[in-house]
Amino acid sequence: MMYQLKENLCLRFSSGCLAVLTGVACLATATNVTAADPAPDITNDLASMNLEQLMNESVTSVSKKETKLDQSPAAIYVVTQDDIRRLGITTIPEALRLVPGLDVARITGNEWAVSSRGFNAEFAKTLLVMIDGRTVYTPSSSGVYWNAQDIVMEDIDRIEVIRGPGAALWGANAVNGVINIITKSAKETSGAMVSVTAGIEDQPSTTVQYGGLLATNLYYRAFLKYYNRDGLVNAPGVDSADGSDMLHGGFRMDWEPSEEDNFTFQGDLYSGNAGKEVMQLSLSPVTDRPIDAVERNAGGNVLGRWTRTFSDTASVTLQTYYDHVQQGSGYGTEYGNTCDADLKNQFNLGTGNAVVWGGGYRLQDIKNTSSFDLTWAPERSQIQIFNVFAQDDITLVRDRLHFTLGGKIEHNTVVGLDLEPNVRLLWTPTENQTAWAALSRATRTPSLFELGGRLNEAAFQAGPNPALVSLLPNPNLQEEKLTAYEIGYRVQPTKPLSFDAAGFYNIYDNLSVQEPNANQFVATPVPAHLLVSSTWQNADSAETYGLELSGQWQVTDNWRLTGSYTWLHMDLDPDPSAGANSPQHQFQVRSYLDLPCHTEFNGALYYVDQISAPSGPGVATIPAYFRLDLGLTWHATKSLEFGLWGQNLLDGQHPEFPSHETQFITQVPRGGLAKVTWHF
Amino acid sequence: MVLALLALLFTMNGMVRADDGAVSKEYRLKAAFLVNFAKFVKWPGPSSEAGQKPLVIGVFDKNPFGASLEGIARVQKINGREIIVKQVATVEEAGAVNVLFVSEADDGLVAQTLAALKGKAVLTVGETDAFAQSGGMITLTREGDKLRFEINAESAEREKLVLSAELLKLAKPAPKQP
Repeated sequence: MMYQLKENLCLRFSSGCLAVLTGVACLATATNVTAADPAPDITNDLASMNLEQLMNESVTSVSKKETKLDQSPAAIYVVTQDDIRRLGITTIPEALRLVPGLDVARITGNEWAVSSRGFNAEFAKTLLVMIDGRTVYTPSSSGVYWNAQDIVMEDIDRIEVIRGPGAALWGANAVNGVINIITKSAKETSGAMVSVTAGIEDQPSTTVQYGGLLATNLYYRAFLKYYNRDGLVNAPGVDSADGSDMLHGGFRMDWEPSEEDNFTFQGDLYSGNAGKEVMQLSLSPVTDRPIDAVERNAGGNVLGRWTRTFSDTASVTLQTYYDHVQQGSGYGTEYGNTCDADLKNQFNLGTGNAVVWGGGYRLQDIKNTSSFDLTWAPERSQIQIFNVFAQDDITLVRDRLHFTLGGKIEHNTVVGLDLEPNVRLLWTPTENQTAWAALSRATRTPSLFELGGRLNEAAFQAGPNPALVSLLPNPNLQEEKLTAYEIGYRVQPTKPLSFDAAGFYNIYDNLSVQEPNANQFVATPVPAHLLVSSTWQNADSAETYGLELSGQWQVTDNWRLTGSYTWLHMDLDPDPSAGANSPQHQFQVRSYLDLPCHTEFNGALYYVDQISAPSGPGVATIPAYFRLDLGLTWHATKSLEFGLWGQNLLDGQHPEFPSHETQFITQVPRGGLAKVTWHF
Repeated sequence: MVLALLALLFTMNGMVRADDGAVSKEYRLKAAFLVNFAKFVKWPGPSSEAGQKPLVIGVFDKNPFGASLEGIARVQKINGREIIVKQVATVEEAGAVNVLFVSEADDGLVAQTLAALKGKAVLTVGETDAFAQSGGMITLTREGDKLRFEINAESAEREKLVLSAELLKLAKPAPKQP
């Protein structure tokens, strides 16, 4: 891939003027396209591509990615391999920072809070995340352990992010967004790759990968990666104990025995440690002090997928996987085993209906170990989920008006039967603009923690007796429900310029919040103490609305600008501020500039508004901040690339998100990063 | 309301004509390649005069592109020149175009067609082994699900066509001809 990019650069420089001229010519005549071509959209896209791009187009793919996205009746954004490479991004959550409308904040060196459309937290409960079709959302805490989701960044093909409910296709917990991380086929990563990243944090991170042809039409790759990341800082010059390391090995095989069939078999095995600060409590003697804990995170997974493609519009996919996770929390360890099988079938019914339907089964067996700080009852849970879904994309007016009707029926042993429907309308009045609207319902299943985990948050001496502050579980907790109204508009006024706008109005019911109980004297756990407690209750409702604007401008053939602005307003009832945790304004500007001599100069500026979020037992306000990253990459040869980045250049350090466990707020310092990537 | 919607749906569906996407993605891609190749070629003769005339892409005998080649030609220019797509039935007509595409359906005729084009400065593009072996200049090939191309530089030189270095760099090295 690298050498192709480099080729592309050479091409651009030597024929830059020609390309600009042709581009202008395209523009001048683009409006004259008539309907003689049965698929003018695809042909137009192909016409605007250069040879390099054409050589990367698959002759069998349904349609070009961008084409598909432009015609999606949902708020979709894609982070590409090019984005990740240009900005020197080393982790998945940092890559998600690029997505307009997502709120990505770093809590510690190895923990992030990532959410869409509000309610951010370490375990942002309403965002479903998948890596190559395998869910990494844990039902234990309703969230994602970002520090266990390592990936070879160079192998990422793209990250597709859908903001808003995706429950009709993806099921429960896809309430405010769905993230699909998609890696490249082994066919696209043949050869050897060595990449070494070293910086103020990474010291160093190394990936070794090899791939090729194993037999006719059978491609493989195998990799080994080790990283050792330093902690961030608590205060200027004071390191925090949140370093992490991980050894991660994996493989992927792609077999195409025929034009129609495609088999993928892949797996990972990893083991690492992540440091964090937690509170250590005791009632005799009364103790409540921070200690440095080291979590051990290990796991492995295998996934198989078979796709048979009958035509451009008809295919069947069968996928199954097994995933094992061992995740430390600082208070105990979660052991999770997941078995999952899914079927998806799509076909055209007549000329006006594009149908997708399917079903799946998932078994999750989860065990959590208890400690004084965090007690689980029961410690072991088995969750079974059955689902069937169907969606019909009805063409009302060819190439102009589509109506999509879909829904999922899900049976979950935690909450029972669930229906998640949606309707969507897509209107393409002209070839360069689309408008869409959607109405959806989605639900969030309560976590095992909310149902059965007791967290002792603080201990202190209250007069003659000790006192304990606890968050108590509620085994009768119900699902949270969302009704979402969305609209969107995309326009490409000229070839190099495009805009995307999405607006939403969300109504949440049954939101789970911590309701205080009356203080009482209790005998257990001994000694007798005053219990200051709160319990999870479906006591809140909320209305949120917001606007997400983004734009892209190909200024010249070798300079691209991307910008976005997000506005979010949250009204929570009865407590207007509890759990909002998300910034009202966010914006970002990115610039990708290709320079002569095979170099690139790339930069990104982010602005995040002030937030308030739980910090230990209290609440902390994190001030608004700017973040600037600048980087220079040099393609020394076809196979060798050097990169140098300065990160967070505008301040010495700033906090992004408080920890819900301690009152110590970790800060993100200024950083630097160097990277060498060698393909051979 | 629902009934009205359904009624609308059925009437609309009746109006929609059958999907005639007969042209596969492969040939849409090949059409785009064809136009792109022409951007990297200098034809012999005074270029200032040639700059004004449209560039003619001929499709020999069987046209596998449907309307997609015309679709691309309409929105593209090659170094400022308009593109005209012409259906070519005879070898004589073929000699009058700038770029000629010979599809695999015409594999049987490829040797004699190419032989008849000597000295006509026609950039020949094909898609079969027979085409490459008969001295065709650019042969589109499939590698997995992607398209690649091989260049026979000698054939192009013989016709005084100058292929740019960029194009040669992107080409797959052609297997040595015996």
